[in-house]
Amino acid sequence: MKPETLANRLKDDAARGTPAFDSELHERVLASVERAPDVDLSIAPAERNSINWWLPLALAASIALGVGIWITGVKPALPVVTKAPSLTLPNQLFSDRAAEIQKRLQTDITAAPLAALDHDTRAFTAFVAGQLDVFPLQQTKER
Amino acid sequence: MPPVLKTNPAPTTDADLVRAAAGGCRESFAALALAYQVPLLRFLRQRLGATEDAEDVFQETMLAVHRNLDRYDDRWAFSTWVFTIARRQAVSFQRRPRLRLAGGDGSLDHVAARASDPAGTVARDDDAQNLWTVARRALSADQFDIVWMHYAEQLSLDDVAKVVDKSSLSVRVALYRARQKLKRELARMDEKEGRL
Repeated sequence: MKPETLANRLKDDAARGTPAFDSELHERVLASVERAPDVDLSIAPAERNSINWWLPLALAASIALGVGIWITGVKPALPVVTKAPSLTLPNQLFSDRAAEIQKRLQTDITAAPLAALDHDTRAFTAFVAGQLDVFPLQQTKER
Repeated sequence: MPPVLKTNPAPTTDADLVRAAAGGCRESFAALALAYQVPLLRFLRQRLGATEDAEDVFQETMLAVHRNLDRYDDRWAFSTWVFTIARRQAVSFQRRPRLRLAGGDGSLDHVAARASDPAGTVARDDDAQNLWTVARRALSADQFDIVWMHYAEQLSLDDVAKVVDKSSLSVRVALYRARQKLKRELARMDEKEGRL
């Protein structure tokens, strides 16, 4: 069968099954549209869908937020701008911060000189110090 | 509050009717429902098989059309949009649990009446000869829709692609395969008749 023959037969058979216009069904459709619970014909579909239902919600949320801030007395933080801010404290100069850390480190070293060393290093250092205490003269004699 | 229905001067094209209907003009919507009743029923009856089902789905389609009038994009023909909605309604209708044999009051009277109706029997016999009945049996739902939209509704392949939500290329391929399938089915039927 040629494609045209099949196409023509499909067209003809589709026309053969054409139903007559049903005025009763037409009335039923119009009635169902007017009866539909979510279709309010007092406003057109275009108007109905253009209502910004979220607008009152956003307004209420803004008012609630404003009132909350007013009651708690929370003030917004103001940024402090410096020429060379450190990473941890943006409102302090980097050089000031570095000097502060260096000073604290020196204090720590003075208070506990071996604190920065790990356990094995401390043990070795203690051993060497002990040897020097025990054999200072012998070492001197051998030389 | 009673519905406020506006009356506009008689619009001519589908797009004018849609605009007017979206603006609240009842007559314009009625004109659209009137213009598309026969083509939609014709499609739905072939698609679903039963006239009652086709009428139900047509009613649901027009309801969906009314709800979504403002979403209609006039870059496409209104017929394409309407058939897209009708097809989706038909698909969702077919997915529902099959409890529709009973009438509105729960009785099976109308089913029995159909079965014993001589006119209905003649119509069913005539249906058996119709190529679309063969198509409904042999083709997948998607293939049937594509073949129907193209041959019965004379929609372009681009419009068909829009209705079935596929690319033009896959519509072409589906159309070709559907034709081949139909030819094979017709040949098989002819062979069977020849043997009898």
